[in-house]
This record gives sequence, C-alpha cells and structure tokens, in this order.
Amino acid sequence: MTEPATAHIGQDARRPRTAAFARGEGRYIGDVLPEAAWLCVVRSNCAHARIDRVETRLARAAPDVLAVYTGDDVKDLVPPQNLWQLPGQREANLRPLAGTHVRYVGDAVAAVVARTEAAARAACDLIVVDYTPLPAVLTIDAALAADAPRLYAHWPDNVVARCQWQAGDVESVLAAAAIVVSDTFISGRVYPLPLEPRGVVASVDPRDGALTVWSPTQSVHQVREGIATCLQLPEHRVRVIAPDIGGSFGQKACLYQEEVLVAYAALQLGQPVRWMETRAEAFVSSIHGRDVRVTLTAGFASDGQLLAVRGRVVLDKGAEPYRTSIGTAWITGALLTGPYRVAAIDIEACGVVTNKTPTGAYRGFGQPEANFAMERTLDIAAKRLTLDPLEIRRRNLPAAADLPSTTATGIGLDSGRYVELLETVAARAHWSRPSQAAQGHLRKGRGFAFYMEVTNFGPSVITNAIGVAAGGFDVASVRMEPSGHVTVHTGQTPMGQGVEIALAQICADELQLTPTDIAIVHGDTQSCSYTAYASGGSRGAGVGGSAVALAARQIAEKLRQLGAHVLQAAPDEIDLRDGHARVRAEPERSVAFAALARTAYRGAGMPADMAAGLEAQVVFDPINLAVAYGAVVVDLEVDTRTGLLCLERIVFGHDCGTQINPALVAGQVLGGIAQGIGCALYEELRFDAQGLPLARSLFDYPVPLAADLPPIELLHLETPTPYSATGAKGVGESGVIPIPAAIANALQDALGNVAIDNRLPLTPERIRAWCEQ
Amino acid sequence: MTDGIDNDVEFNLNGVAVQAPVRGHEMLASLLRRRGCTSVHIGCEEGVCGACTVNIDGRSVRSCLTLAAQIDGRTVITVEGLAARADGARLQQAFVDQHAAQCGYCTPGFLMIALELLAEFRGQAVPDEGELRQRLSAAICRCTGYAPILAAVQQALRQGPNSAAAEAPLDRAP
Repeated sequence: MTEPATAHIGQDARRPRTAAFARGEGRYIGDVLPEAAWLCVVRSNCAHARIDRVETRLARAAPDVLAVYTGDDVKDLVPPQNLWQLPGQREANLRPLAGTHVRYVGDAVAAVVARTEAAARAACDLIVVDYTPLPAVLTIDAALAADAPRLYAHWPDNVVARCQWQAGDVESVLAAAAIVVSDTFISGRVYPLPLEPRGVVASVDPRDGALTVWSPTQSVHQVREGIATCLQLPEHRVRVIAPDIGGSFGQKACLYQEEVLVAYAALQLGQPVRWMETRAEAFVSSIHGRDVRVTLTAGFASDGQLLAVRGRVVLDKGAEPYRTSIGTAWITGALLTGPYRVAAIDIEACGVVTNKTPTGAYRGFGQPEANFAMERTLDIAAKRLTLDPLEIRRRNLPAAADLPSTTATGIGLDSGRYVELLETVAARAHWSRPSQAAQGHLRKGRGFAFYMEVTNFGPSVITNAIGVAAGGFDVASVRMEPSGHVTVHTGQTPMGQGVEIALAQICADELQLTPTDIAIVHGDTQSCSYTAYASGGSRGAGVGGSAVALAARQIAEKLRQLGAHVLQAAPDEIDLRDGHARVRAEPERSVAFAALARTAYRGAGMPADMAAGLEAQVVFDPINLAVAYGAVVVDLEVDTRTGLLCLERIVFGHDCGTQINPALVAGQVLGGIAQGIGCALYEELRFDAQGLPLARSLFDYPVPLAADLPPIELLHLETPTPYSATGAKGVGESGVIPIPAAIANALQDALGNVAIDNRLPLTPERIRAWCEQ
Repeated sequence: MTDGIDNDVEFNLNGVAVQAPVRGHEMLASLLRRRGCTSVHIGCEEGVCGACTVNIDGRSVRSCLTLAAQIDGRTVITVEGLAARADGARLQQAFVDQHAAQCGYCTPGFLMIALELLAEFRGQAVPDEGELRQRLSAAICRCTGYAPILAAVQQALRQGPNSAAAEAPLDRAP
C-alpha cells in the first residue's frame, strides 16, 4: 500500500490518460472492430423536398454489398424520445432514414452496408433519389411568417415549443425608467468541431443475440435507452460502450439516429457493422450550436440600477427538435437576467424549425447567448449613463451576504463573492478605460464582462419541473477489493476533461489512499452506475464526484467499524491513515486495509451485525444547482481599415468552488476561452439561398489556432457550494460564456461612437463595414 | 479509395524495415493505421486539422494527403516510435508534465510537429513564443486552448542537448 500524506483534492494530479495519449495509445471509435462491415449513408442534397423515389436496384447489385436500407425499411421503428420535453412541445417523430420528406441538406435518405468502405461508398453513388423540391425555410423570420411553409404537416406552424418567465409589471417600470436600452443580439450558428468525427460500431453476440454498440457518447445510459426503445429491444440485452472520445463539447451528448441505424443493420445482418463520419459529412450530420436571436429591452434608473427586462429569445432549431428540443432557448431565457437583481421581467423563449441541420447542445447550452445580450446591454446603458462599465455591474450584483438567493427567473444562486472577484480581475487588469486619442487606423479597446454558469445540473425535482425528461442524480459504487485497492463505478464519461482523475482524487481523500490505488470504471452500461443526465451540464465533479465521495465515505465508515472491532477500540477512536485503521491515541495499534478487507470478504471475524463485503452504492441527487461565476477583461487592437482584430490580453477570473484538480480547471477555462474566441470572431455556418451549407470543409470554417490566442492570465477564488459533498461546482462551460460579450464590448470601446451591430461573429468584413459608415 | 494497381512498398517505420502491400489509391494514413499505428488520427482528410501528421525523412507531413505509394524507400516516424528516441521520450514527458492533452485526438499531430521543431532548433536558443505559436498553428486543438501544448514544447526545447536556456521560467496559470 502506498504512503499518502496530503490531501489529493486540490492537487494537479496527472491523468494516466495523458501519458497514454502521448504514447498514441488512445483507443477511439475508429479503432474499434476495423474489419467490420461498413455502413455509409446517402444524404439529401436538397434543403426541403418530397421524396418521390429512391432507386436502389443498382446499389443492391453492386460488388460486396450486404444490404441497402431506405425509409421503408425503418418506418416501423419507434421514434426517439427527446431529452427536453416542454409542455405543448411538437414532436417530429422521425426515423433513422427519411420517409416522405427531406428537411435539410444532410438528411439521411438511404444506407448501404458493404464489406469494405470503398464498396459501400461506390454503391452509395449508385443510389438515385428523385426529389420534388419544396420552398426552403431558412431564417427565423421565414419560419415565423404567417404563410410560412410548414416543415411538418401535423404541426400548426413551425414553432417547436414556447416558455416564459413573468414577474412584476414590465410595461410600467419601463415607462418610468430613466433610460431604456433595446437591441437585438444575434449569436450565429456555429459548429462544435470536436476534432474526432462521429462514428458507431455495433455487434451482435451470436450466442444470445445481445447487442453491443460502441459510440463516442457522453451519455452511454441514455443512448442505450434510446436504442432499446427505437428498436424495441429488451434494455438489459443492450450494451453501450464509449471508447476514448476525441472531444465532444456537447455534440456527442445525445442519441443520434446513426446509433439506431448501425445497431439495426448489425441485428439485420448478424455481423458487426461500423459507420464513420467523413469531415464533409460531419458538417451536416452532427448537430450545430447557438443560432439564437435575443431581443432585449432593459430599463435602468439613473444610478444604473436594473429595473426591468423584457426579452424575446428565438432559437433556430434546424430541421427537427432533436433531443435537446428548445432546452438551450429555455436556458437562454432563464439566464437572461444573469445574476443581477431585477424585479420586473417579461421573458419569452421559443424555438422554430428551419431547413438546416438541427441544433443541439454545444458548450454553454444557451448561456453564452444570454450573456452576450445582457453584458452588451449593461455596457450600452453604462455609456449612456456615463457610468464605468464595472460600476454598473457593482450596482446590480448581489452581495455575498445576500446569497443564497434566487434570480427573478427562479435560478438559485448558491454561493459566491461576485463583487470581490470583479474587483480582483479589475485590479489585475489595471482596469481603466483607454483614452481614445486618435491613432490613425489602429484603435485599442478594452471590454469587460461578468458571467454566471449553471453547474451541477441538477436536482431531479428541478430538471423534471423545467421540462427535462430525466432526473439529475448520479449513482456511484465504490468497492474495496480484498487487496485493499479500490474500484469505483461511475456514470460519468471522460471526453478529455479529465473527470476520471478528479473522481479518483475525491475517493482517495475519503479513504486516505492515493489515486493510483483507485480504478475508475466508466463508459460501459454493463458495468457503470447509472447517471440521469450523463456528462453534461458541468456536473462531473459536483454531482458525479459527490456520489463517489459519499459512497467512499460509507466504505470509510465500515473500515472504521471493522478496524475498531479488530483493534478492540471504539469506532470514534479510529483514524484511517496511510492505508491503515489506527487507534488515534496509540497509532502503533493499527491494521492494514488489506487485512480488514480480507476479513470482510471472508465473512468471519466481523461485528455480529455487519454484512460481509466492502462495497457501497450511493444515489446523489443535488439539493440545488451550483452557480460558477467570474469576470473577464479583454484588451484588443482593431485596424479600422481592414477590420482585422488582434486580441492582446485576456484576464479571466473564475470561481467554481472547491477545485478538485486546478490543472484540470485551468484546462477547461483555457479551452472554453478559445472556443469563445471562435464564436466571437471566426466561426459561422452560413447557407445559400437554396439552403446549401457553405461550410463543408475545414477550409470554410476557421477556428482559433495557436497564434490566435493572446496571453491569458487566470485567477480564481474558491467559494464552495453547500450543495455538493466536496464544495465543488462545475467549470466546463465557464470559459466560453463571457468571451463574446467581452470582445464585443472591447471592440465597441475601440470604435467609440461607431456603433457595432450586436451580431456574432464579429468578422473583419462586418467591422470594416461599420467603420466605413 | 477505388480499385487501382496494388503495389508493395518498402519503407522504414519507427526504426523497423517494413514491406507492405498498398491497396489502390490508399493514403498513407490508412496504411499506417492498418500496420497498427493507430496514433495516426483522421480529423478531416484534407490536410487542415493536422491530426494525421507524421514525420517522413525528418519533415512533418500530412499522412492524409500522402499516397501510400509515395512512401517507398522513405523513413517514417509516428508516435509509436517516439519512446525509443531521446527527443521523443523527452517530448512525451513534457506533454505529461504540462497536462498538454485533454481528449488526445490532436496530440499525435502536435507531437510530430514538435519533433521536427526539436531537430530544427537543436543546439540553438529556444524560439520566442510568437514564433512557436506560428509553428504550432500547423494543427488544430479544440480542447486545450494551446497554452499547455506550447508549454510542453518549450519545456522539451529547453531540456534539449546543448540548448542555450534563453527562456525565462514559464508562468503557470494559477
């Protein structure tokens, strides 16, 4: 047994996975059963059309083809259930292959299974689809128009669902406000772009027909449930395994039709089948992010106090609700007022379908869109009131002593030192507004944004109440083996964030072992504990970790009881230290965990009322959400002739409560900042007038590279949440949330009285156009 | 891949002489993966993302844009061959020390780019951060924000034989 001395929570413990990746030993979906039969999907090249005919005769006769499937083959499958189900929500009830209509470029129409990739792709080219094109709905306004073509005949219009938050009398308050700021804030459609494209492998056990599906998913239990439901299989005979995941950021969080389709093919053919997305395919076949229009009207008193907020949030869902439905719009609406105190609100959020790839979960899940609107609004108000931008935040942020409290939209603010962190960031950044001395075409600007991030998602009572068809609890099993080592079973799935080492550190502290004594089992429905909301909602450390902590604590208690029995002392005289149970007053009276474990597994020599074994399972359902928060200052220079913007410095302060592993936390914040920069400046998915996507290649979709990142200084506070066992909140989405607003605020500062449009991304073309006006 | 002429290629893979049949117009990435070098990752098939980068005759090269048939007579290094080399092992340790991988999908590409940098700057002062960032812009990472990758490469460069340690100690993020 190793010699632990200090606490592991708070250490930059290294992930064994990092060394494995550096040796090239990652095992991703592309490495699973490489000789399995290949499935390739024929996808629509029309944005909206009726399918008149799918001709497959030549494909079926092509060399090495094992099967060809069309919508007819899968029309009796059960449609997937959606994760978010708001009252009155319309459902698309789609099957894995299109039936009568295609509704976006990329919609799956047919599938070929062949012995080799080459044979499958060649056979796909032999499939002919006759379409009758229909008018394409390509914008939010087009979708909402009274005479809009409807994507779904059984819907009265193109609206997926609506939700709202109301309090007080916004009209009266706005009428009496000293100033009213009103503008439209558009977060453009982006592509999450994990570097690894998606893939699925399915295999059927010839002995008993049990199905195994490999998929790089954040949600093995939810995918298992979905496949079992759609294919009407007994769920206990379906196994889903997540190999190493080459990035996800929410794009791989929910069930996809390809997971159903590949499983279907494997069952039909009785042999393993694999599907691997090409990059060009990935741009249309995996969910997009953001694409939200927020109209925000805010009334302020002359001292900057926020009095009333009217908000209208419209989310472009693309061609179907997808599993997340309007969940991101719900979050945008609920987070629209941020952490700020405001008495009167009138907020509505809805989602509309359009003839584009569906949108879904992408890091931030609606929070960046809300933050962009409110943090820009605060800056606009500050300018009109001649207040410092930091001052207007100070006047509206709750004081630490006022927490816990609840926002006007009902979001619980658990703990935090908002103003203190604001001041800390301001001091580090030496906050002051730069003088706007004319410098020719180069202008410097600095911008500020505050943010909150909802994490540890969430109490099952709340998740079910807000329209999530799932709880928010996590289950963990902690088992001490006869050798005294520990195996932890978790529902959390690593996708690069390192949750596996964080859980090992948490368990190590509870049992006074080291992380190397602890194995974390994850990513396999057969052996992993159930997770209600999987690895999303920034809940890995706070919710997954709490389940592990509490289960480990039960093992610790049993070790204390056993140790007391063996050492003939009272349990409260026993400490666990260095892999031993020791009598506190006489530390030389000790017994090793291995000896206690062997006693427990022998079933003799224990207290009379103690059951054999050393395994505990805990269901942790958080009492409340935990809100991480922070502030950022961005310095930039913009060339008003070219529109080119150069980020010069970022100071980012954050508070995610107790940090289990500071290196992992910093990694999440830095990675999120990079993606925020992408959303703010570079990334946009555009479509032409016929609905053809203009980005089908990384050449068309620039993302931040190493030279695009400025120096970033991180600082933090640790204000524990009372709502997790370790005090940890989540942090995975923090970096991405405030960056677009801060950059926009900095750009506006640089441009002075040249007003920017509040539309992301802030491309050089747009910046140049504003400067030329 | 289409049906084409099948060739045998002979090349040196991570220090071992290899003879392998090449299927039609197969790309080098596919051949290497078939030979067990699954560290070669496919991210885009068009040479932009850099995940497939390998080292051919000392240069970093996109294996997704290289025909397998082109490898005849060449010397190829992939991540699988790093541990046996002093500079490769140093790089791998630096990545571990600096937490320079999250999902790991881009990691092989950056390791190969860094291997080329270590050879190029052996015995010289460590390039400044701006130049290193330019060189590391040859590949995409979506997870890390690049800072720890940069730190790892700087560490490996500083630790190199005969290197003039011209860089100040790195400021780690708090």
